[in-house]
Parts: sequence; structure tokens; C-alpha cells
Amino acid sequence: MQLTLGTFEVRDVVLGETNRLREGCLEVNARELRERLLEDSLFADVTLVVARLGERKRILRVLDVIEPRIKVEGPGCAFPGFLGSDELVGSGVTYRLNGVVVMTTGAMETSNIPGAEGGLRLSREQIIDMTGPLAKYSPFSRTVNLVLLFQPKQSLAVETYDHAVRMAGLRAAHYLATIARGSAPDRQETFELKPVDPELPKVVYIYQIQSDGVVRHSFLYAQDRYRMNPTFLHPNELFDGALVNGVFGAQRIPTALHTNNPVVLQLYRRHGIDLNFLGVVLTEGSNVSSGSKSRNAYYTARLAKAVGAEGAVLTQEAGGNMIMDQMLMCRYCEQMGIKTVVITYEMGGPQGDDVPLIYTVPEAVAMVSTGNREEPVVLPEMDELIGAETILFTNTSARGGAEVTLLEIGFSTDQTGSWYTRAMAC
Amino acid sequence: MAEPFRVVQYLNQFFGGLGGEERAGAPPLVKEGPVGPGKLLQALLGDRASIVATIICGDNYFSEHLERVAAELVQEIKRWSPRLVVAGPAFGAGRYGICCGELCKQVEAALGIPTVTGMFEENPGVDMYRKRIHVVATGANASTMREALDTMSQLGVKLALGQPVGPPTAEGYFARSVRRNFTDSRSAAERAVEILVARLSGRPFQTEIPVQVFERVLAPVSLADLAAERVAVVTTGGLVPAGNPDRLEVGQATRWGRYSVEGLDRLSPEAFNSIHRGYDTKHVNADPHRLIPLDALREAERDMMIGQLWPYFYTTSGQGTFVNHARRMGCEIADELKGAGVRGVLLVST
Repeated sequence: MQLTLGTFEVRDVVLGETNRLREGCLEVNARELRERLLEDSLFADVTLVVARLGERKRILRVLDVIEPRIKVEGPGCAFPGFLGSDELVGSGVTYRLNGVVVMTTGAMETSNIPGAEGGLRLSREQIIDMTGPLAKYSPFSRTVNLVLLFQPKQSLAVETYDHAVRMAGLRAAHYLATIARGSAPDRQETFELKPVDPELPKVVYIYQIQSDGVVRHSFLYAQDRYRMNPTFLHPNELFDGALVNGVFGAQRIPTALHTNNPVVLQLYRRHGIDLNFLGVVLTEGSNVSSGSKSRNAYYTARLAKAVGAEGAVLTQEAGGNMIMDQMLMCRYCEQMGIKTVVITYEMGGPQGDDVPLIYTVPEAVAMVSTGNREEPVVLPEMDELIGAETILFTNTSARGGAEVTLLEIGFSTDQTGSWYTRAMAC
Repeated sequence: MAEPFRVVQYLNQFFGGLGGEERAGAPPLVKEGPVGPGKLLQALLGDRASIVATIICGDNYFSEHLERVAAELVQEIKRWSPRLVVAGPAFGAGRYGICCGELCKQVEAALGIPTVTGMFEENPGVDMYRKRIHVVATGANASTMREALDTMSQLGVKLALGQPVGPPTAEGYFARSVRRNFTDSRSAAERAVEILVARLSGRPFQTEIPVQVFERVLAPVSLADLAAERVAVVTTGGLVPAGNPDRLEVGQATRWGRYSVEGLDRLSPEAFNSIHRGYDTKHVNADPHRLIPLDALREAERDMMIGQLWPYFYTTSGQGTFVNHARRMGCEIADELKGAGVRGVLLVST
């Protein structure tokens, strides 16, 4: 499977009258895009707002972040199953826009969405500051963000709204990406897992995602991964958007990081140099009985072993519960002779003096920290609030002064390891 | 130019100039200004700080009544109103290191004044005190006095002035038990793949999060005759009276609630619901017995399977709740139940 990714560098986005990409500036026909999104009559209204690095803007209630991608050659389409055929992707030529993302925002909560019954089925606050001391915590304060604000129709069930928001985000991303079609990308890179020196150690990426029903699910070729067994992917499939985020109710891996997964990119970069990247074991973490947790972990390790892995990097998505699945996968890998490195955030309490992880196994001898997500931060004063005036599920003003934790700051302790936050003993 | 802040230093009999081992029984003595190595420390501090007093005590005198002597010295230190207390450095001297550690620990706890000390890694005082106070890593003996004082003075100034302190590797002290966030120059993914390649080629690597050793809680001996016992229900499933009148936290809980079921045979969905954010609460909210089986427990009472259901249930939300708080809340609830003669608890969640 050989995929050429053509990248267009976008440094600004302007809501205008036409669709044009010129010298890094993406002009978007805002009226037409809005009309397209409203074709889905599930929304009463959709508003488009642009937020750029350095602007005194705060984006609240972020749901998903999607990097625009479009396939220009080869089978299938980007975000297969959602925007077109669900046939296998990962070969041919795909264009991506670097520097701009679509951000869907809103809240799944009982007051506006009947059926958001509580607990797991509520969305979670994710805040992104475009400037100020908290901007350094988010990879998406550096991108130009096309923010979509939705007003749902009153009669919607949560499953319907959840799906509508996801489709709207993908459609908007597709709309932006098509603007680049017909132009020449600024740079190209070809991705292929070429055969390498057989002496190089064989490595897999164990990609644990959450899929636990509405507001908490993930999709492979638009198929809900609820209660699915582990499977093996070629990393190029991820570059074409085969894996789409639907986790709004917890700390999540947005679609933009599924298509730009940093572990995948690191392993690809070193393929043939000091390792042999075999591929990606996709697995679910939200198994709800101790039996299914250990069985799924065992299946995951066994699949890694069966493809020949000698080493594995493990990440996880969402809650503390999922750390247990990750640790069990680590244990079984090590017991099968696969050396592991576990990437995870920490939950050491606001003072950093509580136990950092709710569960570890003695086999987890190599762990990498993405930071203590419970460390408190104070929201600085911000001129413009996009998406809401208060912090979700509180009456607290989001304009400034409120204390939140890094869990609420979008993607600051990103579980795929894309970011630089790290906790250390002091 | 800010006023120099006040510093008090602690030294043992040797560095304080009283003598060697033969003076190890010397009681505490206070001198104004810097003494011995304190003069070098003062030079390093420059005009940022002023060593106003030096407390000198024999290693045996102090270590033989460690806590009491430290408490007395804390009172003496209080009279000098310092913004920083420096103890030692003790290098490899064990008794001296333990005295420095105890003194710093008590000064911080009683007076809230920052402290800094210095020890060689093999000094027993390191393991005993490193988790609570800043122990700078020094050489094995006084031939490294200048480097030790240099590191201690720089760290001490930051602590005294409330300036941000970097990680242990940058500031030269032994890692404590508090973990704080920093920004690394490489992403976590980069670091992870680097470590994996090191592991696979048999090269050394550094893990970033220690494996936890959780305390083993031994199960008590089971109750011989439940029919003679008072049994209570405790839940981490977050069930509260409708409206959450005590505003219990939906997660990261630090408080628990106690609610009466006296005279109730059933929990009605209008009267109770779950605030927990870690599971789909729809089913519990439709029928709270799925979390707290009051109906079944009343039957058990009537059928004399249990002696009596304690008229209160205890509740909190276990979602993301810190281990330290969970332990404390468990102890508080247990104390109350023990006092009430309850010897059996049904601990329920989902």
C-alpha cells in the first residue's frame, strides 16, 4: 500500500464570497458552506466563526477537531463510509490542508437534548484559548480554527444529534479540502511500509480507543466499534480518515489526531532506520467486566504477537477505567515477550501528591507521561467567548477567573503523545 | 533593590566551630550572623539575603531526642523571623543529616517557612526526608562545600521568594513525592519511541512514571451470623436525594453524604438519582434499586437473613476520585459505622 500525502500549508482562513486557496490563504464561501450544512435539517442553525493564534478568543464546548483531507487518486475516499464508499483506503494520493482545522462545538446535555440521560451520555467541557498562558497547552491554539456552532432542533434524540454533529464536521472538512483540488500541493510525502533489514526489531502500535455507545464511540469505516474485537490496520488507512472520533463525553482523541497520530508518524519516520514498523493494532478500552477487560487485553497482545511484534507502543483514550485495559495489554504483551512503552496522562490530584495512576502492573517498566490532567489552572480574562458564556454544567462565567483543570483544556494532556506536557517528580 | 531577606542556618558542632566528636553532646547555642561555612553561603547569597543567626547543636544531643529538640529549635527560629532556613549541608554524615532533615520538616510544618538542606545520596537522611523537603544532592564530604552551598543558595532564594522551581534534574535536589507538570522539548510520542528503541536494543532507559505499589488491604474475618448483625449500605455510585441537596461532587469527590432510608421499603426514582459521570446513569435513574437494592435488603430483614438494615446509606461519586480522599472518606464512614455497632457493609457500585 503506497499513499502519497500532498500537503497545502494554510496560514489563514477568511470567510468570504468564493472558494479559493492562494498563497496560504484559504477563502471559504461561508454562505454556501452554511447552506450545505443546513441541508441536514436536524439543525435549526449553524454559525461559522474563525479563530486564529494570537486572537483574544476562547473556544468552549469543543466536540471534535477535523483536519481537511480529500482523496484525489486511488480507491475510496477520505473519511470512508461517512462521505462515500467504505472500501479499503490508504493508497493513491490524498491531499491535506495543514494549519487549518474544523472544530465542532456544542453540548450534549439533558437541558437541550432529550435522551442525554446522564453520566456517560453527557459531553464534557473542552476549552481552547487562542492566546495567553493556556495557549501553550493545546496543539489547536496554533491552527486556524473554523469553528462550527450548532443550534439543534428541539425534538432531537441524543443519538441523532450526535450523528448530525459528526457528519457536519466531516462535511465541512471535506468542503474545505475540495478548495485545494486542482492546485499543486506545497510538499508531498510518500508513505509505504517497505521491506527492511530483517534484523531490525519489529514494532506495532497498540492503539486503544474508546467505544462505549452514544457520545462515547469511535468509528472505523463509519462502523461503530462498540464491543468489537481487536483488529490490525495499515497506518495509511488512518491517514485517509478510516478512524473517526465520536467521543464527546470524555478526554478524547479528535479525528485530527487520528489522521495525524504522532506515534504512527514517529514509527513511520524510523521505519528502516532502527525499527521495522509492522502496523497498528486497533483495540477498545472500555470493556465493562473484568473478564472482558482481560480477554480483550489478551486478544490484543496475541494479535500483536501473531503479526510478529517484538516491541509495542501503547496509548489509550478517555477515562481512568481505560488505564486498566491498557495496563492489562502491557502485562500480556510483556508476558508474551513483546517489550512495551506505555503513554498515559496522570491523575495525581490538584497538588500532584496523589497516586498518579489508578492501576499499574509490575510489567509496566517503561512509561511516558503526558502530564497530570488534574493540575488546576485559572482561566485568564478573554475578550471573546465562542460557543458559550459559562463553563459547561456550571453557572460559572467562562470569561476569566474560573479555576479548571488541564482535563478541561483541550488536548493538553493528549493521550496519543502529540504534546509536550509532562509530569515529573519534584 | 529589594531588602535582603532574613535567613537562619543550622550547623552541627563541627561546622559550627565547637569541636569534633568530643563535642557531639553540646546543647543548642545561637550566634548572630553567619558562622563557618555560613560565611561562604553569605557571600554566595550576596545582597539578596542576610544570615541573621546560626543555630549550632551537637549531633548526639539533637539526634538522641530528635523530635523534641527540633521542636525547641523551631521556637528559636520563629524569634528570628527568617524567610528561609538552611540546614547543613551534612554531606555523608548520617546523624547530622537526620537532624537537618527533621529540623527542616518541622520548620515547614509549624512555621510554613521554606527550607533547604544538602546531603550525599547515601546519607540515611535522604530517604527519610526527601519526600517532604528539598534535599540538595551534594558530594560525600566537605571538599565539595562550595558546590553544595552554591546549589543550595540558588534553590533557597527561589523558595524564599516564591519563584518557580524547576524539576529536580535542573535544580539539583532529590525528587520528592509531588509530581508537577512541565513542558518538555520533545513530544511524549517522540520520547516513547526513543525509549522503545532503547529497550529493544538493550540500552538503558528512564521510565517517567513509577509503578505504584498499592497497599494490601486484608479482608477481615467474615461475620459468623448475619442474622445477628446490623448491616449498612455504602456506595460509590453517586446516588443522592433528588436535587443533590448537599451538592456532592459529581466526580473527584472529597465529600460523602449520609441519607436516611428509615421507614422506606423502596427508593423511588422521583426521590433519588445518580450524579455520577462515569457510567450511563439512565438505568439507575429509572430504578435506583439497581444501585442500592433497598427492596431486596428489606426482604432480607423480614426473612431474617440480616439482623437489621442500618437506617442510613452512605454515598459518594467514585469517578476520578483521588486515592487519598477515597481512603480518608472510607475511614470517616467506617468510624461512624463502628461507633453505631455496624459490623457489615454492602459496598455497591455498578
